[in-house]
Amino acid sequence: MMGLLEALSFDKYTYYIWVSYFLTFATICVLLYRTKSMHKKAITQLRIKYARDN
Amino acid sequence: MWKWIQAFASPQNFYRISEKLIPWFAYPFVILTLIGLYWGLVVSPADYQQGDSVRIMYVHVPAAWMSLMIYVIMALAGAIGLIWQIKLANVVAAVSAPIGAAFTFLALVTGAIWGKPMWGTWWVWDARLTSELILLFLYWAYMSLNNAFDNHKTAAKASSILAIVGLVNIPIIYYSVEWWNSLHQGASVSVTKVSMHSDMFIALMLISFAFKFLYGALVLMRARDEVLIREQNSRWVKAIITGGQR
Repeated sequence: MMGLLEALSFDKYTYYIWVSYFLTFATICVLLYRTKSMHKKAITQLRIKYARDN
Repeated sequence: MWKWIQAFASPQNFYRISEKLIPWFAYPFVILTLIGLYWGLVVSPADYQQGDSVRIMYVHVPAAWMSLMIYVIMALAGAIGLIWQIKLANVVAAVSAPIGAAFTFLALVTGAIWGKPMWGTWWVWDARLTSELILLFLYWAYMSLNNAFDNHKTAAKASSILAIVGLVNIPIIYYSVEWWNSLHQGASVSVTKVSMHSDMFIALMLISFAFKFLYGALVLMRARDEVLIREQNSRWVKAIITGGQR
């Protein structure tokens, strides 16, 4: 475990590297979250429309 | 082949087939990302000049490649929709734009973070950086134009023309480091040569393919919802929604 943590510490560049990877992770999370929420919104919107039509 | 494309491009068939395709993109994305992260952060060596900061390359370069690839796909899909009036092509173009914008944003931000320790500054008005920033503006312009019309056909027509015109920026981004004096380094990977350590190249390719699978999964998921909305007056959509299918 200590060996892995040591391997993942990148001297004076640690901050830059981890911020880059964190931002990449956050961007992917936002893309996935937006996709899921858009799906939910589309289904709800259509259910309301069909309920109103009936 | 053309018959198969036409059959797949029908909204109903696309909705049915795409559901089965999504896991084939989602699982490889997760697997390749995990292996790629291990390869990039643990296995691959530090660069002899840039030290460990080179590890930013494993997210920066694939994001930049994706920003170009998605724009080309978006413009081509727009052109197909414009010429052959294939509805699904317009849907693919429309749902690709926010994903492309996200990758462009990521390429710019990770590039700035890499630039700070290497160049001593977050940003320079260099040809590569400026043309990539213009690409982000093009994505935003495309999305704004696409949302500016209530009619899907008019929106698709206007935004597709913008996307096609904006294609001129793609070779400018790609060749900017050759055409102008640039602080940005030249390409280390091309079709004919790879000028980096093999472990660096493997890590780069793993993350690069992971991003491609992510894009595939996201496009399919978003396109399914867009198809449902656009085809809301069709009987098959009503059957899916009222029948409780996803």
